Amino acid sequence: MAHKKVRTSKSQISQPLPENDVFTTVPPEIFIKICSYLHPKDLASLNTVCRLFNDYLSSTETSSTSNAIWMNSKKNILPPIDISPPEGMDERRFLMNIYGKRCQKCWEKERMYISVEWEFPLQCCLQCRNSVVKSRTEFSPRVLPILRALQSHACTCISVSDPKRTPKSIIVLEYWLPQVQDNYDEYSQLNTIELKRNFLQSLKERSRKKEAEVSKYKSWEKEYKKKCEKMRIQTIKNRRDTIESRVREMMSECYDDGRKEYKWRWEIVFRLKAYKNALNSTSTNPFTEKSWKLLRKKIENAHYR
Amino acid sequence: MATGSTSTNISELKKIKLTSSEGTEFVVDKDVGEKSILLKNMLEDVGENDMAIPLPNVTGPILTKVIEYCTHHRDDFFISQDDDNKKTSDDIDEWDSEFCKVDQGTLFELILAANYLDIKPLLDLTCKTVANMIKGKSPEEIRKTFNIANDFTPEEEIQVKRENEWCEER
Repeated sequence: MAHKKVRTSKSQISQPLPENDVFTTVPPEIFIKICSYLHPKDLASLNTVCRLFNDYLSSTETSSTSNAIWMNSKKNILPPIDISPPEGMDERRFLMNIYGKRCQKCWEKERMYISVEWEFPLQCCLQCRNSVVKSRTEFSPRVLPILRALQSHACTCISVSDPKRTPKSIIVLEYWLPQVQDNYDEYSQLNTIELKRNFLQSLKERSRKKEAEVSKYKSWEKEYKKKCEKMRIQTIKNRRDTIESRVREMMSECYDDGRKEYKWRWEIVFRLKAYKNALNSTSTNPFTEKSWKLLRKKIENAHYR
Repeated sequence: MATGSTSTNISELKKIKLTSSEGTEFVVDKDVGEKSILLKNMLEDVGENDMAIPLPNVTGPILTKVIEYCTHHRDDFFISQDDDNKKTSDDIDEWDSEFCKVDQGTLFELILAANYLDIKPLLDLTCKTVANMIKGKSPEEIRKTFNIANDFTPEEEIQVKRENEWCEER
């Protein structure tokens, strides 16, 4: 999942600053094409450059340009995301759900939800969650018909057992407040029993459909997380292999400090802290030439001290 | 193999004429010109003709660059990249990367010309080049690179920034 950090320096262009800004004059289809090579992280940067780019990238609900751009960028994430967003969710929000690490209401750092609640339209931190999610007992009895209709599905209702508040055996149903409210408003304006009954019936059906969708995304997410983990482990292993082979290569040569040549001794290197730390590192950053130079220096110093 | 080389020989003999927006005439080999799908289709529709094809959207200097690109790649078979795959912009070869070392005005004009003339590999190359100029940069660095004015009000900027830091940490 780590954002690729290697940049192509060769293809980077060193050129004088443009006198006029030409980038903002390109037609949307070209902008989409340029963006198709970018990681969501870069798109997020572009988004804050100017109003025009913000328009291109942020109005996902109304613009097909933004949706196309965010959709393309899903292929540039590792591992690539190969599923479309649930009904009613745009591509950007979808990416935020899976890839983002911020509350989508207050946008504060360090206040992350633990797992995506596909039942709810957006992901928020616990603090914000309290303002939009209510448990069944917190609602007035008037909205009960709505709650019942929503109960069969997951979209506005999630079962949570909070060990602090309730014993494990009791399940608390939680609802997305705005959704209950909207539905109740519509419901209370209907003036015949017949209409009300039909309304509840269709709400129930929509709920069931949504429930199936939610479970589909939940199992997809589980698989995706497995893939991410597998990839992370592989990256760490590759890094370790590289370090090991570089050290072995180094030890096949002699160490020359200008006055005398020394031979490397495996039993010393093997026990060095620097070597052990490097091997046990769980970093997923690429092991660059620079990192190797640093490590080699450390090993040399410790070995011949 | 044999038929391939004969057809190249024949088309090498044929020339086509193009006129840039200023009215300058360019004569190019037919196979070079046909790297542009627009021109290829036009030639197929019009048939054998001595008339110059007017390209009112392309200036002389840009057309020169386009012809340079098409001439260098005249024998390449362009394989279109599968759209479902990860799109990488790290695969630019040395000649192409040298070719793109032009000022930004030219680079963006090349993009527009490649788009208009329908030369997909040139369009890919130039768009990748721009993408590489964006990659890994902060919004401020992007503004500087492309000389884009920050037209947000300070309040707007704070809000936009907050809403776009969601994928910063990974």
